[in-house]
Amino acid sequence: MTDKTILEKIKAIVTPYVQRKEGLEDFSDSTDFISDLKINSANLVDVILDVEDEFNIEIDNTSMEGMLTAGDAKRIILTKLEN
Amino acid sequence: MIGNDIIDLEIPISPNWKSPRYLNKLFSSAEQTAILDSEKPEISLQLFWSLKEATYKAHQRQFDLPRKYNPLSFQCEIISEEKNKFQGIVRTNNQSYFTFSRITRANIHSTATLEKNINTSIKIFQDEDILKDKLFTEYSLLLKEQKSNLWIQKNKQNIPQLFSRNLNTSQVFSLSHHGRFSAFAIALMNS
Repeated sequence: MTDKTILEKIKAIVTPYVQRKEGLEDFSDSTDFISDLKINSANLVDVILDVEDEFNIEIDNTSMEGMLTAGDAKRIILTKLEN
Repeated sequence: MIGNDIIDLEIPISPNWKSPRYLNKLFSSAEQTAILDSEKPEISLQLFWSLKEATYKAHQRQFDLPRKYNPLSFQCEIISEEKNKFQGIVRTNNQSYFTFSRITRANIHSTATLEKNINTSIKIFQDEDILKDKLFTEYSLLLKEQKSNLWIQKNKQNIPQLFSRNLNTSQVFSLSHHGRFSAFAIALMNS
């Protein structure tokens, strides 16, 4: 799976939780889930569960701590897919 | 040090909330037992979540910490309950914070402080746009300084602080908003 495909899948996963839709226009590695997309912090765990289902991986608590941007999520997914 | 969190109860909680996968990412087994054994598990879940959020903010401000998504690092315990008011303790990294929460039909509001007896000012509004203006009004009274001489600046961790033109002070506060509600919590600190 390419970086671009992963990023597109992340975008599709987060979209239902986004409260600031303009933030999706220039969606990239640096897009911050909370400050750019205004995803409610209580919904971040839903995003993580959807990521686990989509990629068939398990995101451990240490990885979850650092999942603040789309790029963070992409790197975590790539690492888990390699293992 | 202080942090606060408001939850609008009109916004539905995650449809995943009963699933162990969801609960295990947010709450310890002791917290899950307390939530699921309570009279209104959905309300208890949101109360515990607000405790973690409020304490996260207080802890981040206390140690000037970078952002993290680590709800499991905060262990909550309710120590007293009277009608709709709850007092609790939240522990993280050998540090304990005292919490005070209030639940109404419309919202849950929690405040966490490091010090047990600290003078706080907590206000809840039905409109997000007026929050900062109300905060300036409050500080203007507390610091006896004109509103126009006060400003907010964010530090490198993105934590907002209040400064005054004439007083050598930096005041730490916490803002929160969710759905229809917004809130601030401030603790007056010595300059």
